[in-house]
Amino acid sequence: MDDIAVAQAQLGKAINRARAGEDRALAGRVRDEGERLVKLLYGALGMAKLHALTNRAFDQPIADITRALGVLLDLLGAVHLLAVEEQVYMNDIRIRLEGGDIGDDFGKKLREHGIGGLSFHGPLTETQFRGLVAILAREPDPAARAGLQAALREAGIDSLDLAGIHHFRLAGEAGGHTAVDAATMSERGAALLDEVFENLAGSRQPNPLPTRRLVTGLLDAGAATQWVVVEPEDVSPYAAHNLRVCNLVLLLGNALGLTPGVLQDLGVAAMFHDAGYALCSASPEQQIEGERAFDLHPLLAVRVLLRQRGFHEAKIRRVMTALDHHRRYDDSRGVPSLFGRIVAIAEDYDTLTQPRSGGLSPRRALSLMAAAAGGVYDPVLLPLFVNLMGAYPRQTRVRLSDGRVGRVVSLPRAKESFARPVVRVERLADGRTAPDETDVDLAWEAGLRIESVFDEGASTSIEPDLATLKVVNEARRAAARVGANRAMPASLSQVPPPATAPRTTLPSAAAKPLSEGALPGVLRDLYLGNKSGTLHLRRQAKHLSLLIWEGNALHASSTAPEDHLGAVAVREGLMSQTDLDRANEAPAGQGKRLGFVLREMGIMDDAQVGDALTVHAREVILKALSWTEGSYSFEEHALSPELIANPPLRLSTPDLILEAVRRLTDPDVVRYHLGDVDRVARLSAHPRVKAMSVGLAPLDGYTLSRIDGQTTLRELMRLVPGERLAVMQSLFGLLCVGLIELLPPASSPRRSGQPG
Amino acid sequence: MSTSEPEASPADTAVQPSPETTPLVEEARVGVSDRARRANLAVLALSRAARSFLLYDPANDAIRRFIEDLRTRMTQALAGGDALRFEVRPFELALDGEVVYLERDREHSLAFRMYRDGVRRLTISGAADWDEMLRLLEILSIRYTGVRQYEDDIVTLLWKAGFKHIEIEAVEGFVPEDEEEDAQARRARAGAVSAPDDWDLPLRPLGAAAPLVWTDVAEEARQTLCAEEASHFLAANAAQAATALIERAAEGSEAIGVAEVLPFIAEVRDFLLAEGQLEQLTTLVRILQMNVLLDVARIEPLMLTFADRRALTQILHSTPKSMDTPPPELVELLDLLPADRLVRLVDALSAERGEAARRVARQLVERYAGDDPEYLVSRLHTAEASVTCDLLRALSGALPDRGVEVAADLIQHPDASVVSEAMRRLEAAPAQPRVARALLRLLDSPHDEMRLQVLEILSNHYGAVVFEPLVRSTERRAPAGFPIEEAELIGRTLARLSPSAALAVFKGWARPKGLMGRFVESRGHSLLAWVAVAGLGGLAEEEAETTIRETANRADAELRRHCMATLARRRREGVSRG
Repeated sequence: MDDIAVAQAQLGKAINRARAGEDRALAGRVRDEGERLVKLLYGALGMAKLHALTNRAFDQPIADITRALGVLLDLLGAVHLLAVEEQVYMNDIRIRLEGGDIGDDFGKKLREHGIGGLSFHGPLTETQFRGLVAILAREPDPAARAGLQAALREAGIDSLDLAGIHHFRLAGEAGGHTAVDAATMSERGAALLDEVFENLAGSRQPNPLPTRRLVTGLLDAGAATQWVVVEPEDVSPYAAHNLRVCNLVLLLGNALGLTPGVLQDLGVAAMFHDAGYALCSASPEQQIEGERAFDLHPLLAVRVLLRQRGFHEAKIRRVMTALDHHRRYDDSRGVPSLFGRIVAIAEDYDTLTQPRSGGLSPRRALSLMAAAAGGVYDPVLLPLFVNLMGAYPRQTRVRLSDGRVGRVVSLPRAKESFARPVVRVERLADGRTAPDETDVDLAWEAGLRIESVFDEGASTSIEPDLATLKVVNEARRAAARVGANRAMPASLSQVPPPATAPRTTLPSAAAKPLSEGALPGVLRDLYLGNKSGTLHLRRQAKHLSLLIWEGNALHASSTAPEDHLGAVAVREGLMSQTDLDRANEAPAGQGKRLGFVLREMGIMDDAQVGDALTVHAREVILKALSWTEGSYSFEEHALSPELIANPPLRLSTPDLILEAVRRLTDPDVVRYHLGDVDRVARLSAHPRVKAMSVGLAPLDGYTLSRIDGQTTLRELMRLVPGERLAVMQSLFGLLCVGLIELLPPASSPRRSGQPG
Repeated sequence: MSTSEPEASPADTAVQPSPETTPLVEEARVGVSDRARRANLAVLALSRAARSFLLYDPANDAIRRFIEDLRTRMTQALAGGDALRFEVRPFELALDGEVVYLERDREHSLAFRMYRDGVRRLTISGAADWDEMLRLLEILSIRYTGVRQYEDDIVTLLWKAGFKHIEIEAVEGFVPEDEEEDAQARRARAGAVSAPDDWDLPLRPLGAAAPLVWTDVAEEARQTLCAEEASHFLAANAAQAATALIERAAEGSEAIGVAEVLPFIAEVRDFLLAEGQLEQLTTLVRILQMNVLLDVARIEPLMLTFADRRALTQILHSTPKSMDTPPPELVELLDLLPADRLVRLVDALSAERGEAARRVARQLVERYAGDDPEYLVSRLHTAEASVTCDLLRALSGALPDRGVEVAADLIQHPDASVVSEAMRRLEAAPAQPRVARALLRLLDSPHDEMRLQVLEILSNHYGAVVFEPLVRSTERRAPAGFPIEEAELIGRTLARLSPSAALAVFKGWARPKGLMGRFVESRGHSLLAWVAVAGLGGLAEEEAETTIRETANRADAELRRHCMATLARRRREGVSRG
């Protein structure tokens, strides 16, 4: 064959592939039936000006319209009728409306209602069509499109969507997709993903083209070689996940050497891989949840994807990706498809590192995955992925050798920078906040290295609090239903913070010296101030951190091995050393919280784990309370519910404070912290105090009973019976928990005759 | 006057529009400079070639000429080395501000197609090679198809192509007037449904961590993985997807059932048929058969479509010219789908024109003729001549006796090719009275070749049983005359059939029957004498030679020459016993 013949054969093959599943006459039939539909609809709208819709004159036209739509739905799956200027399109096919200006008039009629088109996702009955004609024939609703959509819903027409008024974008007009920056691309992408999800849940047909446009936009923005996704605020977790997974697969696919066309298909497949969850949430009455949703969602995604008619190579790839993305590489049924293997890596990495589901540090997550190459993951793809992510993947929080703390923001640029990424400094060595976007490229800073990585060690996985997740998501859905821009409720005390709320602030206070007895006051201020964040306590090499949520201590952790949960539990007799060893060595428990492992292995039940966690937290906090030196700082931030331990700790900050105070055995220290004892004490009117539940000792109760707003501390120390130290501890404790407060000296009312 | 080519049916190869540029009504206004004119011709060639696939079968010669024209025109347009930077307007393409393409018919306008997909500039570099041009043509051609898929537009297709020397600038094609209102409407809808709170949980268990180290991944390993998604694996991947889904449905998953899977299977089937992927088709049918009990009412009809008339026509149409026998996969496919296969095969054979395809189809008909021979026979008698011939061959191959019977009937067929084929069957068949009768009847055929063939058959396969009938036939036909060649063959045949009886007959024919017979039957007698002489020439008896000499003495010049020649041949061949 000469080269022309070869070209002819190849073109023929490509054309045949493009036509696979569609006969050549399909476009013609669509055009003919489409013309019929538009003309009938146009005619019915005209008739509606003269006759009531109940008139028998409408019987035949409505029957014909209904039939025409049925034929088109059979041919196309979904019918998208769009009037653009004077043209009318049906699923990309231009409808010829020869004779007259029907196309223009039809478009005008739609535009009167503020719409440019109708998308039929299912057949309409004749009654529904009459309703549609009636709605379109009447005076336009002032609310235009929204009003029209509401009217359709009232008429029981749910399978019809309204498209906005469209025009051909002129040359030179802004908005070319190549000109959009990554942030805007991400925002649009997230909105599109949510829209797609919604459509799929509503039995709409998948429409890959907008998603494909999004993927090409991401690729143009550099998603195959760098991280481009900028997570918009207030984005749904699902959309955010898919955007991130898409970026990851494009990176991996490009590193593998996939051609542009295949890479594009990979990105689109990644956007649809979890589409099955749309069916899990489709019906409020029949939600599919939990493990059942997990097990079913791959096939549900396939079910959704198969709604799209016509054979296409990309569709095959999407179907296989959906089917395979949770399968192991060494699955006994055979090796999963390439796209499935790629998405499996990207998906798992993203899921492991997200707070909602594990909250592992990126480095930890990658290390766990690296060990599973050849088993869970493809043995070629996984190392390639590790090369891409680097020894310190993006978002890993690190401390540099010069004391600065920051977060990795780059991918490795080459083999040489595998372990020398770019770090965005968040805090200077002296604890001050670093100026915005201070980046250190370790590849160029030979004298600097990464000294340590945060969030590593035993506390490497956090159990998701599903109950809280549910509350958060319900709040989001509720906000969406009232048309709010997915804003969260104003008061965080009503609903826990959103799952994906980022840390919006850096450590707000510089480290302060920690002197004996100061900590109870700190805890009181956090409690009464309803603060949330992390309280950092440092003494030499030891670092304790307390997670505070609305003033209450939720969790405590320590870098000292003797203060880890297991060690404390053994020390307190809550479990044996043998059990602890078993739990630590269990392969399935690697990377997970000890509490989770203990429950899973049946060593402890929920209640016992709760007790252990409570004891552990109390011990850590009390240890900190006993420090006589060191520093503390409070990093205020919105708390992700996923960081809340499961089960919740049964810790009361007031009780902790009281216990801490009681452990202060040096009377001089207590006296010091009481300050000016000639100040009058009064009961606190703070709203939080009124609802406080705290375990008061009898002495505390008696002391409280003597607080009348006129008696000074000195007088109270004389009036309250008991050892002086105990009375001082009681007064200090009540002050620290906020049950009593001291008036300023000038304002203290004096009883007549009392000594000053 | 439009620039469109004349409408033609896809299979109509008789219409061969010239690829030469049809003069444009507006050509005078399109392209003033030489460069613009060259660009105009190049773009017209591109547009024409792209749309031609809508009208013609890809293998059509017209397509070839359009592609040749495109190469020529594009080479000329790029000859200077300068890039062609087209500005895409709604109905025009402009080159450096000069209109080089104008077509206002939206159906035919290349510019409009590109414009509404959002393309605003198309730049073809001087370094663009033929491969890239073909890919551009492929994209523009494909964009005219794919009605249901909403998978690609020109922009995404151009991106996929990964051109090095062709660039586009694109915007969204047609867009909402109020993008914010549109976005708000979408946002209002979105968020009402969200993924379950614990989607993708629980996490899969992983073992101990491994250190993170750089690993050099071999290029070969990468390429092996990339190859999994190479275009030529699409058929296998599609079949694998279909198989996986059937298996899932068979497992009784509540997530997906047979009803959802079968339409997809049908799409894969169509694709595999278009690609001629028999092995994958057969694999798929096997899987369907294994799971037919899932939903017999749906699956069985679907299975049959894998080898229905349309499918078989496609399979046969894609048969390579060199193929002599049916592919084993096709045989297996038909074995898996026994219902009505003979009917389908006969239908497919009837529709097929290609030689190789007909050959394969015939062999398949032969293979399955035993399913319903009488159906085959009934089609034989009603089909067009060439099909009848093929069916007769197939029937004879499968059921020789039945074939002979049918051939015997078909020798009365009005079409010479059918009769000829029937004759071949009869010739190949063992001697039978019925066949003999049929052959003898053929001696009355108006076709000389036919009669000669009959005589050959009688001579080679039959004996004395047909002697008398042949004698009578000859005597009956002699007055009307027959060619000399036939007369000689009759003589030799009779001599072979029964030498002893032949001598007596020949002597009778050679001698005139009295004075009246000499005058009344002179014409027929002369012919009979000729036959006799020819026959006597093959008999060994001396009496035969004597009779020849006596005949020569009485004969006219022509017959005498025949006698002398016969005698000479006898001596040469040593026929005489004397």
